[in-house]
Amino acid sequence: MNRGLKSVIMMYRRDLFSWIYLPWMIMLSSFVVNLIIATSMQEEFTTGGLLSIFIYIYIVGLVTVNQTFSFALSLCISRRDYFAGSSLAIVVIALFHALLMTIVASIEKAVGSWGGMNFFVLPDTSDGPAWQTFFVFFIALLLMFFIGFASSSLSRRFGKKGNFILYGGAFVLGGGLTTIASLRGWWTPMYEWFIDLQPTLAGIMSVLLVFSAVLALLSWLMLRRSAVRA
Amino acid sequence: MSFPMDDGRPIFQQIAERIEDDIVDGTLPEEGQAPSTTHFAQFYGINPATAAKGVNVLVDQGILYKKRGIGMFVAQGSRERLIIKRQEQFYEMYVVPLLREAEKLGIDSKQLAVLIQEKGRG
Amino acid sequence: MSVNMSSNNKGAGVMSQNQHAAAMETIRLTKTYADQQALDGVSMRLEANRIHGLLGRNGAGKTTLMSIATAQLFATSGEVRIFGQNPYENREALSRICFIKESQRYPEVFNVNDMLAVASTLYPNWDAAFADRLVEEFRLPRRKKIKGFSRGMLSSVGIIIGLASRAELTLFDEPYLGLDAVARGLFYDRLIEDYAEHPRTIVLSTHLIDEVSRLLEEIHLIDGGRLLLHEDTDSLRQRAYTVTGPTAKVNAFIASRRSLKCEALGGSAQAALLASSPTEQAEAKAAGLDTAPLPLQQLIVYLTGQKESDREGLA
Repeated sequence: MNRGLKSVIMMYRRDLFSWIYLPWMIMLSSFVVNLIIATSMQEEFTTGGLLSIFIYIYIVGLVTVNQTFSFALSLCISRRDYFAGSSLAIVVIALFHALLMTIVASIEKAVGSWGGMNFFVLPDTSDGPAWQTFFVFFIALLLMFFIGFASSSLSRRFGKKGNFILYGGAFVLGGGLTTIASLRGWWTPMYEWFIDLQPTLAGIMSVLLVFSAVLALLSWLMLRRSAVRA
Repeated sequence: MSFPMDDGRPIFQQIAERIEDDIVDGTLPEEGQAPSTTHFAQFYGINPATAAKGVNVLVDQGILYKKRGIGMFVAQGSRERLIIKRQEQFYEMYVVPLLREAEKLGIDSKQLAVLIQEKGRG
Repeated sequence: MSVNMSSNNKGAGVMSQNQHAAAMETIRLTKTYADQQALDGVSMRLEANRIHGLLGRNGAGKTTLMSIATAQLFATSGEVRIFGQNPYENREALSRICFIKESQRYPEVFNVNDMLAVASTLYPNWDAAFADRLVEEFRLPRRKKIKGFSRGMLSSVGIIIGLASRAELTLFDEPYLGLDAVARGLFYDRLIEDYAEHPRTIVLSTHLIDEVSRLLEEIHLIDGGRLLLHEDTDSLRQRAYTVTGPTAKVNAFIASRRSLKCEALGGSAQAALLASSPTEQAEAKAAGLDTAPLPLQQLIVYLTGQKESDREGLA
């Protein structure tokens, strides 16, 4: 491992609190609150508390470039090493969180529920074997990170203007297309087409993994031409 | 802590003069070892290369000489030579300005001589 | 005036192979922003194993120049070479540089210990013991977040990293903002000591010249995005002088010479000049004028305070 890559990883390792502990603290506080609610509920229910870690990881991706890119560059680390180090860091972090989440989900499955509450087991995604649950968590975490990372790479590369054009463009385009789809009655055929594909969990996850990789690639292409203004 | 020195003139020149001063007043005896350029640099807070340049001025004049692997030493007869040189400069550096100031104040050379003799006695 | 580097001063070692190479070189470097021309065709050469002063007023283009040289910023046109190589995405070249930025921001959670840990993996020549000693001497708290540091403490962090990195090319951008006289003295002392033992290329970029001028071997003066002057410090000291005397005599003397500033008070006048020949000061004395050395800081102020038209042909 070269010195630049090592230093980027060292940089992230100095902040384990944000990367490791804080998301679990948030998730566990949600767990506790829901557990209290569960005691007063009669029927079984699933909380959305698990989502907090995915949202959290998205935010981490969003602030990472802001927090560390100009810092790394001013330490004369190459953009390539910065990108590779950051990607390696998130893969390791996602593996760690996914593993821990899978373990807790397995316990939850074994005991049925926490006093009528389901927290770590998500319907339709955690039905299979543990390794499958693990990959669902892992890929979803990776995807959330790179959505944030690509978005902040965009503002690093193109500034506020870039963000405005992307989100403004997406809003106009998305709004336009959905309106047209509704007017022309495209929704039903689209839904039927989707069902015809007979999507499997593995299939969806593969698509999301490819999507993460595309976002990572786009981030790199933007970062390699990004400057740190004096 | 370094001792700043800077009267606006080239620093290497100021360094050379300080070493000359030390030789003239005997602080640095003949055949004695001069401090290294690093020492000069640290003592006066100057660039080591500039200190080396100042030392080299004196090496070129034969005031200091280099012993390989040991350092710089004061050459035999250096003090004598420097004193002669300084005596030659004395008129230009001290007497001329003195006379000019005296002229401005209307002190003639007789009065000046008296002043010098009185001070010399006191 | 050539500087003769004696061999006992610059010891043999890894770096001696670069003795006469340029640590940093720019060729017609230009940087244009929408609203402003930050650099305008700067060609300069920083010889290796020297202490260089990159001088100029605030906003002259010093930081922009160093940011491009360290591949943080892209030039509009022109080239940069670090030890002969283009630094952009060049691990080899980048690993030889340490750039201490004046406006450096640190990650939110970082304290001094974090910073030292990162620096130790980053710089190939890092001296941890030296860094620890400097932290003590500058009295920095190790566990307090850098985010909450005062201006002077931030400067101290930069100085410690810059010195202990022992990078072959170390760039200090306004390194002593906010530092008191004691801390500044400490910086100069440690810099000279360490530089004497580990020769390398140091660039001190600053608009406050007085205190550091004794450390500088070469001066590169930047103004309005251009290289105004590049000269050996001692030769510049030799050339810069003032003449004082009756106004008529002073005016007659400076008429055919390069005078930077002239002010009259009563019947006498004083002028600051940059000599074009070694005999000029003797000529002034012969003309009945008093001469005195002009401090470098003052020279720089006069040079960079001038109008565009007055300073053609200086560089």
